[in-house]
Amino acid sequence: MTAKTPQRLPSPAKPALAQYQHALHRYLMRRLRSSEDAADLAQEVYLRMLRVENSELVRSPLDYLYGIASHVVYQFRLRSQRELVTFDSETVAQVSENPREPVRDEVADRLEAQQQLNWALEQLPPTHRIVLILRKRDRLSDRQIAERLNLSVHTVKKYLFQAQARMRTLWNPNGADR
Amino acid sequence: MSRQVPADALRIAEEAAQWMDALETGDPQTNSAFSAWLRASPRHIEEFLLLTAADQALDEFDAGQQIDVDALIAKLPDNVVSLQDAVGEQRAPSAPTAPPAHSATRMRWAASIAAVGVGLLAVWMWSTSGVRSWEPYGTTVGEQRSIELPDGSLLQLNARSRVEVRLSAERRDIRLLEGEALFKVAHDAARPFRVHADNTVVRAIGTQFNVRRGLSDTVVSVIEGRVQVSRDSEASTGQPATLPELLVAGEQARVVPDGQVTRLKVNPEDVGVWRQRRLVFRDSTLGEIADEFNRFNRAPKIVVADAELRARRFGGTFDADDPQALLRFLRTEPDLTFDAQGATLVIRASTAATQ
Repeated sequence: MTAKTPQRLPSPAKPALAQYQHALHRYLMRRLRSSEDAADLAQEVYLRMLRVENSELVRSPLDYLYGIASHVVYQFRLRSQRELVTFDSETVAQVSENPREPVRDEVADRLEAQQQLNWALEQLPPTHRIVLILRKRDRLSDRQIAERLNLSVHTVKKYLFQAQARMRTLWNPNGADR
Repeated sequence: MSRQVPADALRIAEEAAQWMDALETGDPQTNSAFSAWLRASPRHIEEFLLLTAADQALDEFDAGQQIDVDALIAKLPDNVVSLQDAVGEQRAPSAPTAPPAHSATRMRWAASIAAVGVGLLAVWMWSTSGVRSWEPYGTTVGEQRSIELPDGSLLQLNARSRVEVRLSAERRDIRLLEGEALFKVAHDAARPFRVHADNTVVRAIGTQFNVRRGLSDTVVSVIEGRVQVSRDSEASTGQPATLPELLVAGEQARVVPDGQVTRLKVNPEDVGVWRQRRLVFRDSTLGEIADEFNRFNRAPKIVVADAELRARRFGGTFDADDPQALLRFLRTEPDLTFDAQGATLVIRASTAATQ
């Protein structure tokens, strides 16, 4: 049957991050750019997280979050594939054997992403932009950035949080904060 | 169909960024608090996922080192940076550092959020110190005061104002008994921050807002972030609840004793100007204006004699310590008379009497 999953998924209790994060990341980047929201994903993840025992969740909340989110994205993809091809066992078999097929897409995505990124960085106030570059590109610690810019560590953290939040909204050109 | 980024995205994403940072410690308390935050709302989940994806996209950014950071740093107006730094370092490390006060984008960027780690430490400190009582703070005529609360929030009290503060492990409550206060709330999702004024309660998470308790109303003005205004269950008046109202930056709600709410637009830059001892009136009644000057000055005490005149509306910007400027301004009104009786100055409308 086509509805069968082509490979076994680990249960969310043991998320295989490396395996799924790629798909999840691609999914999220699309949502960031395309003005589509990720509310459907979040809603589904939210409902599933409510079912997880709290003691389990607090042990490693990030693993749960990414594990469940990846699983949901995977199911979304299956569902949309099913919607596109009413019934074609051959196509489904191809997709499942060749999961890296959309490589051409990825290159285009990446280029577009870099342009978008440059534009978004330009929109940040200068100090925020510098803090972000020093952290993300030069991998400096809060303390190192603070010394470099003659700011307090507290201020550096604050700028970093604000810059990161702003970058999230700036991915979308129709963003709420322009 | 193109959707916009949700209006609360920036605020929640900033919280998410704080969590991302705090989680690096990997300690059980942070994990537990973060789990609670995730379970609190699908919006939290959505923004956290999007934020981490956006942040991850920066990982490969400018691998060729094409951007010259030194050149960017050289272009910074360094007096602003070092000034701000000085302020940040001289305060206790838990103090929410003031945003760059003269930056053109300050309203957008002004966010007084203490680092999550500090917030958690504060929670721990307070939760281990037993049941709290109400801590009173007050100012007299003309006095203004800044109070840093143990959770890192900043409370600025206008003249002739009184508050009571109670912080516990679960919540942060402030009673505004009289006058006006501006709040810069340190972010702490686990402990709601509530301001009670008369029949109104204002709830905020990591934001800046002003609450003014007048003789006949309570006015809430939001400088940044969002607050929820609702009827205070502590002051159960038995009236039907028409609240809550959600206010965003640049909005103001005026609540009268029967619970009626009037919403107005307000320039966020005008909201806190009383801290510079400036009074900005846009279409205020003379009664309100006089009361405001009396808040700052013992003499002359301005009394507006009749109700009709008290309701007459004026606009203008004044130095709070210079009531004579108001009087000079009012003297241009042909129908007003001014009668000094000791330290009290009585203003009357002469038209009704003479014509």
